[in-house]
Amino acid sequence: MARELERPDPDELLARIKADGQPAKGRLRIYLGAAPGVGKTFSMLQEAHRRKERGTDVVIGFVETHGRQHTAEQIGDLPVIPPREVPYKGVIMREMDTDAVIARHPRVALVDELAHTNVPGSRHEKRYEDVQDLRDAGITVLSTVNIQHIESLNDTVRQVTGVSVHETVPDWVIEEADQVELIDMAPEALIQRMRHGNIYPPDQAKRALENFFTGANLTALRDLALRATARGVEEQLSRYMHGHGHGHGRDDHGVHAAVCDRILVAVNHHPTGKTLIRRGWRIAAALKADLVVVYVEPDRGARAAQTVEDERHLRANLQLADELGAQVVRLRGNVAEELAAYVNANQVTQIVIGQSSRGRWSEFFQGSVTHDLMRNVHGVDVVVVAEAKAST
Amino acid sequence: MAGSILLIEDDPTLARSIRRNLTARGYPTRGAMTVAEATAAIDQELPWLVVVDIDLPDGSGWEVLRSLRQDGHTDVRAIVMSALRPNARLAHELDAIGVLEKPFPIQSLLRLIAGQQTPSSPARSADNEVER
Repeated sequence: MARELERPDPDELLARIKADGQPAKGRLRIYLGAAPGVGKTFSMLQEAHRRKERGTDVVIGFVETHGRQHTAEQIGDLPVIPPREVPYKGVIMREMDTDAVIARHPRVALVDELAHTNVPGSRHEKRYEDVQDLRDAGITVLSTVNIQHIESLNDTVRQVTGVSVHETVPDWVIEEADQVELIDMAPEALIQRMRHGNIYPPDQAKRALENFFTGANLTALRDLALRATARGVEEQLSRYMHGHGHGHGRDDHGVHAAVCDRILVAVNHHPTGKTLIRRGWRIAAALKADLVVVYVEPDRGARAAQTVEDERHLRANLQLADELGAQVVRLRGNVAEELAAYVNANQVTQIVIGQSSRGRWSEFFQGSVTHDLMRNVHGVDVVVVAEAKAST
Repeated sequence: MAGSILLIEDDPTLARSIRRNLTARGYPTRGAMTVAEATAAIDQELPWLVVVDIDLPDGSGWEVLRSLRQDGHTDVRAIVMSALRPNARLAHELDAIGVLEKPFPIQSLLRLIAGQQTPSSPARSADNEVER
């Protein structure tokens, strides 16, 4: 009991650390994988042992072994902060005890599965928010994530593999990482591991090989992971060049683009807006450009026709834009006119817009936003995205 | 027999959390929130295991088990979750392999499932979901 009383209040500790300005924010290292079973958690644990042997104070904040024996064995003598038991509707779930990790204040904490959603009643809704708290307290975090959980790749993964992913982590969390290490494994090797029962027990393994763990799926996911990592390296290089006075807006090696390019995504209250925003984000990331997401509130008549459901979709679209780090702009009036005026006044270089859901005859008689917009902007690329199935 | 688990639970957050734990261990899991949805899901594809909450919005989880057994699906395993002390006689009659009285730790459910020998001839899963 006395020990409990002596334990510092984590929020107070966090506030004190922030007020003192000390210590510096903890670093974030992410082990990125293309699929379950490539060895992310295993690699993270190996790194933890290496650091411990060098004398660093390392603890396990939360590691999920998913019943895998090799992973459980790899924990070895690493100190584990016991997880918090959080009852929810009669089922007791285990979540990271963020308060206890902060109170223990190790130099390094291992926190598996960055995209995890906590059970209601936890400190935060998402585990990456807990990781932010640990880093704010000066604790370096080693974490893991699979490529399909990265927000902007959500649509691509679904289209390529047919796999639904319900938990995602915003791209800025990955971008903010000091290091992203790709745990790469050839699809053949991964399938072999699966066959040997190293990932799931034999029955589940057999099913997985017939469903998700096909050569085609694994190759596509690996390709995505390699590209994402390569993009991260490019961005780091670009930051380095800026930091060292290279190419300030004048050379032709991509740094120029970071200063000049601006991608505009036009959204309305339709759920396909999320697909447009993710497409725009990928273009902006590839070009190292700014991303602006614009919503033009229609004239009064059209506005009155919007339903509560429309409002919900609009809020979700703008929230996603915000999470992806886009500048969100709200305008009011005629959609094509307002968009054109904004594009011309703000040096927008590329517009991403959805294909009209109205029929061709309707467009012929009433005109289309896309056509009106294209007539009124000059020297701007317009990407019209075919109507995609809305993602939620 | 098909290769998925059918989770019948009407609280979406709890269902998502349980499904995540199951899919992460390699169990493809489909979801149903009502007796009607569960019946439709069973008609569509027979699961090898049902995990069913007794208190459902349109009836009782026992009804799902009773119709399963009446339809001759005696090899489908069943685990029952209940906030009240579950009826042991019904659990025995309907051949439930496990009864979990709330509150229970998620590990109890995972251990119960891991202890089951799943079918050796899996079919394609209806829910192509792999989380971790």
